[in-house]
Amino acid sequence: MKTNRILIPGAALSLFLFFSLSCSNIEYPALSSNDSIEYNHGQFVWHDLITPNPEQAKDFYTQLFGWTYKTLGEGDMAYHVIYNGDKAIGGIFPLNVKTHPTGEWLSSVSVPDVDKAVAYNIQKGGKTLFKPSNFKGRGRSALVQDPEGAYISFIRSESGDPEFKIAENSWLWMELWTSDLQGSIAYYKGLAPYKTEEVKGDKVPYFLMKVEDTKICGMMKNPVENMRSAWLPYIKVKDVEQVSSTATSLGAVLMLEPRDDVRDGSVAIIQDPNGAPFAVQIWNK
Amino acid sequence: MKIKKFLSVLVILFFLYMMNACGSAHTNVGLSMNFGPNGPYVSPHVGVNFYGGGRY
Repeated sequence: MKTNRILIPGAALSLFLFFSLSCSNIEYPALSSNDSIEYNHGQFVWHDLITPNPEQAKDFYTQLFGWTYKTLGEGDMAYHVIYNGDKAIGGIFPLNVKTHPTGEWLSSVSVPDVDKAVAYNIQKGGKTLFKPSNFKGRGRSALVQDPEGAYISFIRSESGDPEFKIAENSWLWMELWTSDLQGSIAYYKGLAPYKTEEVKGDKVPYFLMKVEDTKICGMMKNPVENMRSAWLPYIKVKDVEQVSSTATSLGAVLMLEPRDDVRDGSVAIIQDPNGAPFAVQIWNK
Repeated sequence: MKIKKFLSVLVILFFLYMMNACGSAHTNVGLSMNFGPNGPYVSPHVGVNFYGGGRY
């Protein structure tokens, strides 16, 4: 069975939602609160969960990570800003449950020029799901599918990019699962100033994407047959066993349970109760 | 006659056992169907031998 139809929300709906959100009067929280505007091109600076059941999703992630929310707008167009402590780290917005019963995390990467990034994506064989538009308080953004089909947003923040800091119960890592590893590496090196470094000695080829000496994300061949390419966000946790156990008790499914023979038991991959995949990892470095 | 019946039952039980065994056979990578709050959805399984991800 192809997951494109069931696991992944449709492009048309995403188009509608992004278009609707961009046309709303909602003022989104700034990505950076620094006095000086600085950019870290290639860095992932925001994460949105699209889900058919925002209220259940909010409850699930609160019980798992202690996240709180501030709701902007009302009704079907409500946008829920996610807070980890006092820091806004992402958002949740609704999908139509009748037509799209499962969710997905969409991540935004900083680019110097959203329109040029979209043109590059088209030139390389990708698709534009939502053309570049301005979001009040946020900046200019577009949603695309890369040439292998992975969803990704391009963003040029009007307040600059936030400094990436690893924090408990917040974003730790981004990872691309792709059907064409070398093709994706070449594509993303053309999109952002990435350099690659191969991780030696692991079970499968794994490439780190770095900007100067900073590790930004990783790429590997998709470990699931018949699943289209996708970006997977990782969240830093103290106890991966406890998080996995709590997640399953709340209706989530473990795509990969913590195992001693996989990163020494420090990683689990979870599909939330509405089908959105994410990973958790213990990270003490 | 009794032996014939006994053997027939034995053969049927053997086939039932085999069918059950085959039904349980699976690889550790692929997709399965789950039932969530909004109805059924597929869940990918990540094969241990196909995964080496996470932050380094």
